Amino acid sequence: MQMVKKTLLIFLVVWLGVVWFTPHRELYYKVETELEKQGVRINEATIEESIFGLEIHGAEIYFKDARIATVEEIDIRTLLFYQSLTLVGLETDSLIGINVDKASVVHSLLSPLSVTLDGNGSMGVVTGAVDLSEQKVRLDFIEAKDISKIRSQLKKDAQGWYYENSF
Amino acid sequence: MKIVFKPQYFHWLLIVLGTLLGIKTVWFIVQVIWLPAAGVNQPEKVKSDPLYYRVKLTPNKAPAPAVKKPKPVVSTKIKDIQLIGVYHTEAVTVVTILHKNQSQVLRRGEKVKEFTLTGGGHNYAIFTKGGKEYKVELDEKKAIGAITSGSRGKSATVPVSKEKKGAIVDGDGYKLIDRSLVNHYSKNLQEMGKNIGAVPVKKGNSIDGFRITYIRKKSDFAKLGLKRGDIIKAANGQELKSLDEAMAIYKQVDVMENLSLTIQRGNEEMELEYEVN
Repeated sequence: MQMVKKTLLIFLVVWLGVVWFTPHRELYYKVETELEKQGVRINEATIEESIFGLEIHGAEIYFKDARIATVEEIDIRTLLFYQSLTLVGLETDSLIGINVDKASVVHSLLSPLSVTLDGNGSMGVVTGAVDLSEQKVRLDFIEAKDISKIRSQLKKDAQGWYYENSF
Repeated sequence: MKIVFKPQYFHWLLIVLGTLLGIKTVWFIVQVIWLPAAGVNQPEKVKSDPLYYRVKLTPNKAPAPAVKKPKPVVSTKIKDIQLIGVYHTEAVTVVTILHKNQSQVLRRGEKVKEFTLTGGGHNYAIFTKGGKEYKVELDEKKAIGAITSGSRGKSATVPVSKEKKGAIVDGDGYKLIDRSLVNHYSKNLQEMGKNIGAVPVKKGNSIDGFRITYIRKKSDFAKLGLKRGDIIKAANGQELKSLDEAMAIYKQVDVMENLSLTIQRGNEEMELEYEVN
């Protein structure tokens, strides 16, 4: 029993240490560097670092020098075995015409090869998943609202509209 | 003596602190070697609205100089005047006519040859010559649209034109584009993409215009005088150095009255002028 307690304590200390000392800001900068290679740049008004993650306020997303979206708040949380990214107040350019009130992307060690997506906004309620093993993404529009501008990218089945793609 | 702090707790504390220090050291090494100290930001551009005005330097038609030989007077028949657009309210009448393959916009009181525009209706215009009135009906085949306003309280209605969206008519050194056509493509980027394609022309790390890669034959864009291979260098005097600038022009197009495109065709640079009706 003592051994179990000691093991748990060590595990807790290591976990806490890894999470606490993670350089979240610098890791985010690394992600920005990688995104820049794809033509994506993010300008942020403020970045607040916390023990378990980052909060980015007033982000502007550019793709090949054209501003495509603004995000009120991006909340990144990492607990090693559980990661989440929450977007609040995403407004895309009028040409894309989609506004997202809230969207979340979650990855957990319980299903390491899958990333779940949820969101709601002008397009309705969306749920989906990214299958990392099959390199596929599928988004189901449960309550499709204004999808006229993206309809050409969507397919329809018995359950309704959905988006599917491989990468 | 009562022992308050057992040595084994101190031992564990040292282990915990040592572990935390080790983790911090590892992260520090990772941070220094692999992680950047600063992010990548899009440089802010100084926003400037394109400065473009079309100025008519000679608003009044000056009489021809006496030195020139008088041209033989050719009487114009009313049949030579084709009505292709009409905007009529109680206070204002503006028509677009086609005379000798040239389009002209007339307001009430203005003349085309010997005919003076004196009034109109929902699909016709009334011209007067020598005290006699002539009614010219809207040419349905060439019509670009008609807008009328009824009596007070009624809103203006736009009768359905036989044309799908509008027309592009050759003017005097420029092309006259119907507003409905502009509005249609300003809201349907995808449909525009089916008719015309362009890619940025890279010059080092920057963009030097957009090259037209294809134009669908007989499409509205083919009528604009653009050809495959043309490089659009500037719009309304503003050089197109980025996708952002090109998109900014595209978003403003539905409120523009004039558009001037500077293009490079082969080794020749030329300007294409458009006026939105």
